[in-house]
Amino acid sequence: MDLSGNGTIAKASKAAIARAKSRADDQVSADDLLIGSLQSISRFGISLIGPWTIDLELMGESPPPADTAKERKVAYDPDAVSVFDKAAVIAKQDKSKVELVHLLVAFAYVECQFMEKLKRTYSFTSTEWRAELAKWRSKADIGAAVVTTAPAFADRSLLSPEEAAGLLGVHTQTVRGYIKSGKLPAHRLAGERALRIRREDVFALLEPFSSDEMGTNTNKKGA
Amino acid sequence: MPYFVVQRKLNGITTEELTGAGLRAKTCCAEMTDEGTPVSWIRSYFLPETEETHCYFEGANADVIKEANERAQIPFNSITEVVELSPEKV
Repeated sequence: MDLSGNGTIAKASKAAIARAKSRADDQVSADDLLIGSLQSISRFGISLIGPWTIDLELMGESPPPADTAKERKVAYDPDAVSVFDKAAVIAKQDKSKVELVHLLVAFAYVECQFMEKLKRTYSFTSTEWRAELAKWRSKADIGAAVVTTAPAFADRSLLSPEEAAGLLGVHTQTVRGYIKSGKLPAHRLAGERALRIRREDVFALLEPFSSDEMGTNTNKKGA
Repeated sequence: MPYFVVQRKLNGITTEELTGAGLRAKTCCAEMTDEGTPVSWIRSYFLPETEETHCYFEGANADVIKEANERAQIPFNSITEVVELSPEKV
């Protein structure tokens, strides 16, 4: 069957249907569709979207074996139908045929447990999800890693803990530790779990290093 | 394989919802074909004045077409076998 032009939507739906079948359900849910979409762009169990390294394997979402429950008949449930409809609206606004990117954006608008889980785990909002996908201009962008170097943050005055860690060259956990200890001020977006840090607060963490300090007191931790 | 027309009356349907339905039809036909029951959505005509839709499918029998439409969750009123005639055939 030729599904050219919707290349990765075809793969996404196939993966979604396979997941529903392996769950022994007769309905394909919005969760199935989101996970199927991420699986269609994943490599080694990892889906790269913007700064987020979504580890599907770690989240327990490895694709089921190819021949699982082949004979089961599954139909799209109302939430999955809403995702397709929303994707069509988004594609029309984008003056395009419906592509995988429109499907992924649609999940920012439809009730979806897995999307909520992703937002909590990777600390992003619906707006940020859409903003990252808005950067996908061609098939080559799909699932490509965004190189997060300092120049990419040059125009951002508010950073996520991951971005602040990238700027400082430390682990995200280190940044969270600074926030917890009060060393680095952070703010919560109203009504969301995501944290935001002012760029100037990140730079305030850095102290000028004097060459006088070198060679002495190297076994003492900095104050 | 024979062709069938699936007739629907979808009150208040938007073009985007028709597009969404088309996508679901494509994916469900692909899945059924992979399962060993070949079926494909050929094309549809929407009549904006009456909000009717005529969707042409190819498959072994009406039951196969019915199943594809049920999986895709697109409501329909009837499924009828058709014989296609087109300019290049006459």
